[in-house]
Amino acid sequence: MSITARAITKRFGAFTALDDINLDVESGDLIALLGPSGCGKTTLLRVIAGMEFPDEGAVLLDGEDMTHAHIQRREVGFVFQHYALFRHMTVFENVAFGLRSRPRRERPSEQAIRHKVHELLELVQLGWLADRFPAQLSGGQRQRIALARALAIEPRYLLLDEPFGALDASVRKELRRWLRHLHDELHVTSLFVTHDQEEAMEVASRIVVMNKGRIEQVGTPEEIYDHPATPFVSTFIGNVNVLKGHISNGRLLSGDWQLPLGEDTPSVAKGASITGYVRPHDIALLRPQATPEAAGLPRGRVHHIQPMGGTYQFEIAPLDPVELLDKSILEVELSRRDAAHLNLAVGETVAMQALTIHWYETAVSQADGDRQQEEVSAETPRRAVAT
Amino acid sequence: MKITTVNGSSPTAHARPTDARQAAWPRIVMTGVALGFLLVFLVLPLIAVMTQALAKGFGTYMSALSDPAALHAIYLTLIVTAVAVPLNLVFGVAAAWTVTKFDFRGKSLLVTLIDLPFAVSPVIAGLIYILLYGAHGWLGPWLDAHDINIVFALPGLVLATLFVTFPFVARELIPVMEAQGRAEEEAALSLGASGWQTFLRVTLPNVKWGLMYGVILCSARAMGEFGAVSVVSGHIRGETNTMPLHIEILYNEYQYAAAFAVASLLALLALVTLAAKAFVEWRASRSHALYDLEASPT
Repeated sequence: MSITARAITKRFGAFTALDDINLDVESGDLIALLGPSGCGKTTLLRVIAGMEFPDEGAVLLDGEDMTHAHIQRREVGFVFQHYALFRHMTVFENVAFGLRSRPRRERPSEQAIRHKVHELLELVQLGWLADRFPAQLSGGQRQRIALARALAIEPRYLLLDEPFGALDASVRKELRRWLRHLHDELHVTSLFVTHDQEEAMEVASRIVVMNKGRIEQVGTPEEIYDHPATPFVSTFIGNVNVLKGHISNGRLLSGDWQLPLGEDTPSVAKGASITGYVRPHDIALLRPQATPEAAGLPRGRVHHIQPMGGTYQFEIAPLDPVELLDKSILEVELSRRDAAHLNLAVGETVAMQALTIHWYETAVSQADGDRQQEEVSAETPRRAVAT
Repeated sequence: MKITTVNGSSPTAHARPTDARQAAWPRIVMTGVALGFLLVFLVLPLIAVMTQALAKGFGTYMSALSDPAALHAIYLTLIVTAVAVPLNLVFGVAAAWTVTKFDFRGKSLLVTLIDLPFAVSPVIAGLIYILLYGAHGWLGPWLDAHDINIVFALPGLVLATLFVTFPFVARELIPVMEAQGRAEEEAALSLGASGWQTFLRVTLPNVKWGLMYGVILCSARAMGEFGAVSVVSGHIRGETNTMPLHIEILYNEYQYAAAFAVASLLALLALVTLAAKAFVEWRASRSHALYDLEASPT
C-alpha cells in the first residue's frame, strides 16, 4: 500500500503550489508533511486523495497510476482539520455513512453495519456517544469520531489534514500519542499534514519538510534535526542562531570562534564565506576563569535567563566579535543541571563555546543558490568537554 | 452569540443617570419610527382591506368570493404558483449548488444573471415574452402554425411568474451553502458516496431550512405578482385573470366590496406565508445555534 508522487506540479492561477514533487511512502509508514503555511503540504495531501488534480506528474497508489482516478476509487480515509462531520446525523450515522453509501450489492447487512460501527466507536473509546449529534461533542471527541468514520471504509491509506490543528494543547498532546498507538495497531499507510514540528517529531516515523511548493528534506526526526539538508530546514526545525563566517586553512572562522572542519569536508575555496547555524543547546557556557581554554573563547554578557521547566534559556549579548546574522542576541539552552552548576546571574560575563555548527557556502550570484549548496557539518573535538 | 446591552441597573448608570437617559432617547425614537411605519403602511392598510371587504355585509363578501370569475382567478393563481415554485426550486438548488461547490469561469456572471429579475421591471419581463411568443413575435408564427398558445394563456402566466420569482430560492441558498463550505461534501465523496448520494444525504439536509425559506418567499411573490402577469395575461375574465388581475378589474369597475373581498383573501394567503416564514426562521435559528456551537473550537 505504497504512495508514490512523481514530478507533481500544481498551479492555482499564477501561484505554484507544488513544484516538481517526488515522494515515496512505503506501505505501513506514518509520515508527516511539515512546513509553514502556504508551503503546499495540504495541496499535496489533497492531490494524493483525489480532491485536487495535478497539472503535471503522476500519483501512484500501490504502484497503480491513480493520477486522474476519482476519489471513490482510491480507498483513502480523509480526516479534515475542522472535522467535517455531517452535522445533521448522529455519531452512529456519521460512522455508518461510508458503509451505507456502498452500492446495494456490496453493502453489508444492517446488523453487520451496526456491529462494525460499534466496534469502531469502541476503538476510538467513544461508544457511549453513538446517539449524540456532532454539535454536542467536544473538539477532541469530534476528531476521534471523524477518524472512526474514515476508518469505517477500511481505507488502504489514511490522510489527515492538520488533524489536531483546531484543538487545544493538552487534548492535542493526548490525541497525538493516541494516533501513534492506533497506527501501531492498524498499520495503515498514513500521511498527516502539520505545521507543528513538535507534532511531526512526536508522531511520525519519517518527516517530509516542505517549503514554497518543494520538498526540502525527507528523513527520520533525528536526521531532520541533526543533519538538516538545507538552510531552510536548519532554521525551520528547532531554534537556531545564524552566523556569518568564512573558511580558512581547514577551519571555520566566525568572529572569535574557530572550529576545525571534519575530515570528509569537500574542498572549499580558501576564504569562502559561509553561513553557519548553531542550535541553542550546541553552545556551552563557561566561567571565563574556569579553564585555560575558556580564556581564548569569545565572551558575552547574560542579558536574560528564562527557566523553561527542564531547560533554561539564556539570552547572551556578545562582548567579543561573534558574527550574528540579523540579531544581536545569542540564544543558549542549558539543561537544568548545567544551569544550576554554573549558577549564572543576569549581567555576569560568560565564555561561549560553539560545539557544532552547520554551515553552507554563501551563494554569491546564484539566484536560487541555497538549494545547490552542500551541507557540511563542522564538529569540534572539544565537544566532549562541555557536554 | 448574544450581545447584552447595559441596562439602567448597572453601577455606571446609577452614578450618571443623565447618560442613561441620553442613551435611551435614540432607542425610543428609533423604535417609535419603526412601529409608526409599520402601523401606517402595514397594519392600517390591512385593517382597511378587511373593513372595506366586509362593508356591505358578510353575504356580499361570500358572493364576491364565490363568483365564478373570482373562483377561476383563485384557481389560476394557485395553478401558476404550483407550477412556477417547484420549477424555481429545482433551478434555484441547481444554481446554488453550481455556484458554491464548483469553481469555473464566468461564475460571477452567472450570479449577476440570477439577480437580473430583481433589477428588471416586471412590466419589461412581461413584454419580453410578448416579443418572443406573441402573435407578431419572433416565435409567434411558428407557435401559431403548431397551435400552441403561450401569450394570453396559462403558459404565458407561468413563464412571466417564473422569470420574476427565479432569484428567490437561489439567492436564499447561495449564502447558506457558501458558509458551509465543501468539506462535508468532500468527506462524503472520500467515504465512497456518489455525487448524487452526497447531494441527497449531505448537501440537501444541511440547507433544508434555507430552502424552505426561499420556497416560501418565492410562493408569496408568485401569488402576488401583478406587472409581468398583467402584460402577458390579456385580461380575459374567467380565463387568464389571476387574483391580483381580478382585483384590479373589479376595482376599475367600481365594485369596491368585491375587489376588497378578493384582496382580503390574497392578504390572508400572504399572512399565512408570513407565519410559515416566521416558523422556518425560528427553526433555522435553532439549527444555526447548533452550527455555531460546532464551529467554535472546544
